[in-house]
This record gives sequence, C-alpha cells and structure tokens, in this order.
Amino acid sequence: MIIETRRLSKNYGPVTAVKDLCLRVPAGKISAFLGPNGHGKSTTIKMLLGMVRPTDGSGDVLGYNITNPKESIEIRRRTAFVSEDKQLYGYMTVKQILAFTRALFPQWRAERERELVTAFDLPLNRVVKGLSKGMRTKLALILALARGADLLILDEPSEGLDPVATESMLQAVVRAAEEGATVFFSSHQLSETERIADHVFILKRGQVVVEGELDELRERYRRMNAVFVGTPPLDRLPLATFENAETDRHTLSALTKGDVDAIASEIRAAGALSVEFHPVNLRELFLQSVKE
Amino acid sequence: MTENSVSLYHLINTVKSHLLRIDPASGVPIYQQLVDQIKHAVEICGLIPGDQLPSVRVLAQELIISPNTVVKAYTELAYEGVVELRQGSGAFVVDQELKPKSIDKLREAKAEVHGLVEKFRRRGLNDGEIRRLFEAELLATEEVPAKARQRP
Repeated sequence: MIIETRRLSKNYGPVTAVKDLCLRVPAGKISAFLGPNGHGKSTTIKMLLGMVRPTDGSGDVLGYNITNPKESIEIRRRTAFVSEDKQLYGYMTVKQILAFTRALFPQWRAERERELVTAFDLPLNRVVKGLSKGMRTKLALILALARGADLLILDEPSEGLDPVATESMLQAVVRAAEEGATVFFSSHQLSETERIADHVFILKRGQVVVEGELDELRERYRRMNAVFVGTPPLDRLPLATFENAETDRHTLSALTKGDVDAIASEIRAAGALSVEFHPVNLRELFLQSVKE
Repeated sequence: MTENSVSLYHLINTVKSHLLRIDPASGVPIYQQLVDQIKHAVEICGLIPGDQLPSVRVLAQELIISPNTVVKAYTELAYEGVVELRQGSGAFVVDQELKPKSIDKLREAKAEVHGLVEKFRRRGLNDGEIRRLFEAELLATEEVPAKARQRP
C-alpha cells in the first residue's frame, strides 16, 4: 500500500470533517477519491501531506508517518501534489517558475514539460498572478507531472480546464501510471474518472462508504427492475440485499449487491412477473451511495 | 521506417478509430469491452493472425484509459487463446485453426437472424419491438443459466 490510514479523524471545532477513515491506496494504480463538496476530501489529502494535523488516528504515505513532522517533509519531497487552490508563486513568470522547479528535481522530465507547455498553450512570459484559473491549473499540473515522482496526488486536477486541456491532462496521468507511478486524485468528473480509474473510493461525511476495484464494483452492483401484478409486497422481499429500493405502482427498482441468481429467485418467489438486472455505471453508484 | 512500425502505425489507426469504441458509462468493465471488441475484430478479420496489438502505453494513451485496464484485457485475451504475449515485444493475434469454422457459423447465424427478423416484420412487429425482444431474450438467458450450469 502506498497510502494507508488508520482511523484518521479531523474535527474543526464542533464540525467533524473526517471520521475514522481507513484508506488503503494500492501501488501502481490510478485511484479516484470521490465525494460531495465538503465531505472531507481535501482535508484528507492535506492530512496525508502533513499540511493539516489529524485530531486522531494516523497513517503512512510511501512508508513515512504522516504525523511525524520530519517524515512528512519526506512525503512532500517525494509526492507531486496539485492542490485544490493551485497556489503558486504569483510574482514569477511561467518561464521562471518552470526553470526554478526544474532545478529542484533531478528526475525532471524535460520532454514532458515541453509537450505539456505546448498542449496547454501556456504564455511563458506572463506572471503567474496574471493567469486565469484554468491556466493556473495547467501550470500546476505541468509542475507536478514533469517531476517524475512515484506518487501523484491531484486535488480536482480538471477543475477549470477546457475539454482539450482535460484530454491532455488525462493522457499525461495515464502515461505517468504506465511508467509505474501511483496516482491518487479527487474529482467530480465521473465520466473521466470512469475511464482512467482502477480503484475508487467514495467518501460521505468523512467516511468511505464504497471502495474497490472499479471493475469489481461494476460486477458486484446491479440495477434491478421487477414488475409485480399488484403492489410490490415489500414485507416479503429480501430488503437487506437492496439499497435505496423505490416503488412505483407495480414496479420495484433497487440497487442490488451480490448474487444476482439468489436475489432473482427470491423476488420471483414473492410474486414478481419479471425481474431484470442491468449494469450500473459510476454515476448511478455514486448518486445512490451519497444519498442522505 | 521499418516494416514493423508501418504495420503498427496502420493498426493503431484502424483499431483506434474503427474497431475499438469504449463506452465508460455503460457499466460494462472497460477491459471486458476491449476483450469483446478485439475478439470481434479477429472474427471479422479486422485483425489477422500475426497482427501485433498496440503496446500497452500506446493503447492506454490513445483511448485514455488506465494502462492496468489494457494489461488486464490482453491477459484475458491471452488466457482465451486469442492473442499470444511475447516477452518484451507485445501481444500478437494467434492463428486459430478454428477460425474458418467460426466465420461460417457466424455467417449461417446471420442468415437465420435475417430470416427471423423478416418474418417478424411481416407479422407486423416494428423494429423497436424486435430489438427489445432480442435484448430481453439475451438478458433473461445470458447470465443466470451460465452460472447455473457451473453448479453441480
């Protein structure tokens, strides 16, 4: 595991941002960290990098303890990070900040830098303060992706990017993974997440509610639609295997988990005329998981 | 340019733009979509024995999907005997002796499906109804009996 947390918690006064979080991020994979706004994603990421102190619990990143100040310096040194606010030195020009960062990292990939500068169409002589939000994101991404780091932590990397730049960003992320890097990114863009993620974590109120290999989740969950003669007899149905069952006159619709055959025969035994199962995509799974 | 790079170039372009169409939101695992589509490409001779599939890096970047997904798909294809993985040089379509037979089978089935569809149309079913009948039949019989058969 590249990232591992043990009952990590963070309170801001009376507000619980993260609660007993146990994250296990596998090495060499692309992991997505999903969740509604304000449910603890950025707080978690900042705790992983030693930028916010946990109220309770602990964790390791790349084998270094996140609560030990000395070790957390090592974490930041070895991790390429794009923060939510994309903070950069405002007084430097794009060219200067690239040269400055290049000098800090011996594994700097000059070719990657050139490709991305071209793909993102960045104005090299403009000062950072004068960049738009999207351009600032592009610059932060170049600084992170050209570093040749073993671990990339990206907090909403596609925020403010146009579709063309998003495509270049995703391509660079895929390339980094192909070169062996571990990628951990938060996002609200479920369609792009669905393309590139190997592993998914869905966070709700500071806790992981769904976690797993994306392929495995796609196989485990199904949308079930059953039609009955009369009203679905809810008292005779195995509701424990459902999530968010909804009924509408003769039909019952629910997200099911696990053995499709067993569920189908139970539903038929309860009088269903027809039972159908359909694949579930990430959007559906996400919306159901974070529903209050 | 070597012969190899020419054929690879050709392959990437055809494979990417015509044969492989990934739909991430369909709910079907992407590696499974790749496996199905590459198998289909072999069946219709879009890929012929000896053809080299794009490297993991190239395909992951062309389709913008995780390289691990490509590895998973190629491994599955190798397991099913569709491709052969050669150390350090990539995945190659295997010469399957069964192939002519499977093409005949498909051709035969296609003719039968054609006849059936025509019959339904003559009886006054519209295309939407026919499509739904086929889909419902596949849905109803596909997964459940496949699993049931495995049971003793």
